[in-house]
Amino acid sequence: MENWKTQIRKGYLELCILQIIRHHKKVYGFDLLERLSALHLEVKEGTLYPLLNRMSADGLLSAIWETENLKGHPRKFYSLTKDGIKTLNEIGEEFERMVAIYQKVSKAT
Amino acid sequence: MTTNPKLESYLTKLEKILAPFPVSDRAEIVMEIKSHVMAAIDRDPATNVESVLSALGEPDTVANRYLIERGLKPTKPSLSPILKWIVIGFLGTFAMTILLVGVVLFRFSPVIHVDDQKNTVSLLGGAIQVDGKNGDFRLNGDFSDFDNSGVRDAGTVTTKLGDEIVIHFSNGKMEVGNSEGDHFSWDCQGPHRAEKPVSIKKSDAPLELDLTNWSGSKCSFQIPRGTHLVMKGANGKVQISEPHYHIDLALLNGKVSLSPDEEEKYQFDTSVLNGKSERFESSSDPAAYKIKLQITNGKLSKD
Repeated sequence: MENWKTQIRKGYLELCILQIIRHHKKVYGFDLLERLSALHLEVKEGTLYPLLNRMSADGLLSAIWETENLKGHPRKFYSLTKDGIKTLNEIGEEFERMVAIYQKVSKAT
Repeated sequence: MTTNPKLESYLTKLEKILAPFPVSDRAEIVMEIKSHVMAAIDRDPATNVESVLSALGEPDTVANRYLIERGLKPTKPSLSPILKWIVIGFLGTFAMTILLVGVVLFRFSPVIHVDDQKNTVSLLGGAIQVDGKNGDFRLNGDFSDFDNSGVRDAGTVTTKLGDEIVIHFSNGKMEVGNSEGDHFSWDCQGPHRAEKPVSIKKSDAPLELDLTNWSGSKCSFQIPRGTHLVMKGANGKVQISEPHYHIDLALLNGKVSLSPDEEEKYQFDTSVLNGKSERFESSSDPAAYKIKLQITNGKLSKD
């Protein structure tokens, strides 16, 4: 079970992250961690940040640093790039296709 | 934002392992992790830096994840600095030892070199040189000064058949021949600076001639028939012509030449540890003269 979870997780997690960022337009790391946790899609912080770093390097995300106020500390906010939106749509479609196949398979006689 | 030493230490380790990344990327990653820690403390003031850092995980683990995500090889954890320096020290000493051995071997090779033409034996790559012609021996060019005109000592002792004659020398050239009668005689010339004269024990057997205080002597001996010559020397040349007596000779470095008498029978026991040796034919006749010749470094020949 764990093995399957691990295998499926990675792709699924990226999909969810892209969706969350798309919905909220601008998300910073800690915020994303909390949202994923609330969805019971737990990710360790030590795993998320490297993942975001890679997704940015792949051109799916863009980031800006913002500081709330003079006393606050800077935060890195992620948004989807055009490529990111395109990729999200493609992955989303593929995922829905997979779900459809699964539904068929589970009903199969 | 005050600096927290634990946080800084964590970030330093993290940054180190991220070395393959460009410097500005490294800086951003460090900033983001710091920002995460700040955000966690903001969210829950009851928590502390250590627990946030431990939730993140070991800095090298996190850093390696960054590397792996980007398709780079994770860095192996490095040795603790102390261990690293111990290893360096050990390797350095080892390398120096190898170098030293190499230099010694190079300097002191060839171990032995016999030159027939010049009549010299050279040991340890020239550290010790023995001149066969004069029985000279030199250390690395330092001279053992041979002024053969220095001191002279000669003498004769009457012997009986079967008597033992023992000669000790350190460096020199020894010519050994036959005595016509029953007396053993010697004629030696030694260096100026001979400290003591030749010492000879004549009264009790065996007869002993001790030339070891004469470093560099040239001697000729006459040995009576049927006696037992025992000769022990360190460096030099020993020339024995047509012996009519038993011989037990041991020479450390140098040359021994023995020309057998065609009309006599001998039983040879020869050995040269490092060097060259000619073959001597032994006889099975029990009355044959027993000739034992041992050379450590040098040459044994018939001429």
